[in-house]
Amino acid sequence: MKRAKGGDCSNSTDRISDLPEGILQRIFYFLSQKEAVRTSLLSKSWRNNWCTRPNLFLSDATFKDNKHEFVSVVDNALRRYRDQRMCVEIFHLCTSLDYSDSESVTILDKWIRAVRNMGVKKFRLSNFSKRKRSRVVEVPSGVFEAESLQGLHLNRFKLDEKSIERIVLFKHLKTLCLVQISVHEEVFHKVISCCPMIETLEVTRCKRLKTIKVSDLHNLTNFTFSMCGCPPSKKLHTIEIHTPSIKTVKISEGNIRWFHKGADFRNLQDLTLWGVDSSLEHLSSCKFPNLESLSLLWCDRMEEIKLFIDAPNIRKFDFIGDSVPSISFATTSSKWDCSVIHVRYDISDLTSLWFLKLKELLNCGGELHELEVRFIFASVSFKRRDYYLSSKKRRRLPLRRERGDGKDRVSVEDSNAERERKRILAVVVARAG
Amino acid sequence: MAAETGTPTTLTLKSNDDELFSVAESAAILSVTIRNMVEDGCAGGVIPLDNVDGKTLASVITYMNGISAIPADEEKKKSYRDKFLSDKDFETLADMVLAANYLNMSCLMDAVSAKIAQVMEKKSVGWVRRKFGIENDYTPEEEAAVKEEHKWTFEGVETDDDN
Repeated sequence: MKRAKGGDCSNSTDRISDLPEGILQRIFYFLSQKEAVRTSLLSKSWRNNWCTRPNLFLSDATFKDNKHEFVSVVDNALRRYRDQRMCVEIFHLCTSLDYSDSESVTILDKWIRAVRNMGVKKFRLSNFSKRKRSRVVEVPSGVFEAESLQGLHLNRFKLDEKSIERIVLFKHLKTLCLVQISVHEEVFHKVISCCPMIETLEVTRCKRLKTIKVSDLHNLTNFTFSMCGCPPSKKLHTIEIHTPSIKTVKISEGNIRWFHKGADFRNLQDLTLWGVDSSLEHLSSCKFPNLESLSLLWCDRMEEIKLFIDAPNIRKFDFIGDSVPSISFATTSSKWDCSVIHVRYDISDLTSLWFLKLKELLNCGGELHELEVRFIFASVSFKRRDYYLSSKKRRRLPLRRERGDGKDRVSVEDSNAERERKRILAVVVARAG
Repeated sequence: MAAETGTPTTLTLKSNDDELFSVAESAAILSVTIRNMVEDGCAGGVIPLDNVDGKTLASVITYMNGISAIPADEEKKKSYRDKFLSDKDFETLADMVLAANYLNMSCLMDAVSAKIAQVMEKKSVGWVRRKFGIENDYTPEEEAAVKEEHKWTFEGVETDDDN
């Protein structure tokens, strides 16, 4: 590569242009497609540098109304990778297809077949069509022939028999994410049976999928299920997971039957249930020998039950809800991390029973070293979905904010609520004392 | 990594300007290059690292010790890396990324590459040229042709009136 002569204007030598190709590739890897392509204008030696980046991220949103140009940019990019026999490790394609675009679906299939031949490892295909979901197009069948895949992420497509008619065995697939996919049980389970090595599975807002049986996935460690933003009528789901291997479970919203009585979650470390409507009584009969963190957030039916959690290694319990929960832990752990308990209350709730329950809760797991207790006055209106824990915690919750719901977030920290909270805390301290 | 003995071992690394550094084997084997030497049993004496100077090697060893002291917590490791790289100028970053490449330390190489990418992000072509001392050797006609070829990537970016 050519070194720029520093003579005329610059006193620093051009070290970046001299970096070996492998390093430049890594730098390009961390740039967006647009930024990477733009470097072609830096100097002659940079003209085609970006072409070797192993990840391709193309979105027709960048091209606004000029779909034709988008197609030719993708065509050219893929041709170049093919001609130079380069690998595309990560291919991320965002389109806005709808049912009337049969021609576009054919083009999509052609692209997918092209990257398949380049040994693509991670493939992400998103559709941002504004059409109704019943009109979304099916996943091009080429996707399910890409044996080299390690990660597959599909967003807003229809997955039917036709998509998987030539499905291969995915020996390397470790991550499968299905977001807003219209899929029936048979098709879903056929896909799962071809992906025996899955470690991470995410199923988000796949309304038609009522039963998820993944007990045969012996490597499954992370499972995320969300029906966030779907109408309640569509929320009864049965989930069967392979309990010994699972480490992290996050379930948000829905009426779910997902564990057997007495199940042994041998490796489960982190369990988050958010807005789950079903009864959680079974939790008391299960074993959680390695559970470290339990979060029960907005699970309405906590009110009716007394929970006893067999989790000797628990270190963190987070709770948000409308009433003080009855929960206790069988634990030998004395090292608790900061736990968060937020309870919404109305003035009429504040009976001695309420305080008694609160006192029991605060004594639930031996020594709570750091605990944030917050009471939210019921008249402070907010949407549950908008009320999370701290921003740090929010990142870890399996929640997706609905786009464009128009309403602003209501702060529960408004001055009224804050004053009320202080007053109530003073009462609690007085009573506890 | 299990060496032949169970006791903690110290390795001696030598930079290309003949500085010697001691480093715990458990930290040094973050480098696949060094790990291979250890596994092949040729790490007994002094390990010469011909492509790394003393100043850079000292920095890399600081990183090795720092990151290996953090238990398996990706978030903490990431924040350590961010902090470690935050005050480094481009000259140092270039030395580090070359060293990381030579030593085959993918985590450091990725962190530095990402940092360099971050510097370039959302900057105009002229700014990047000036920052990194890249000489524009295009003729105005050639430059216009390249710009035309990828015109979609220049939308919404400030144009440069210099160079």
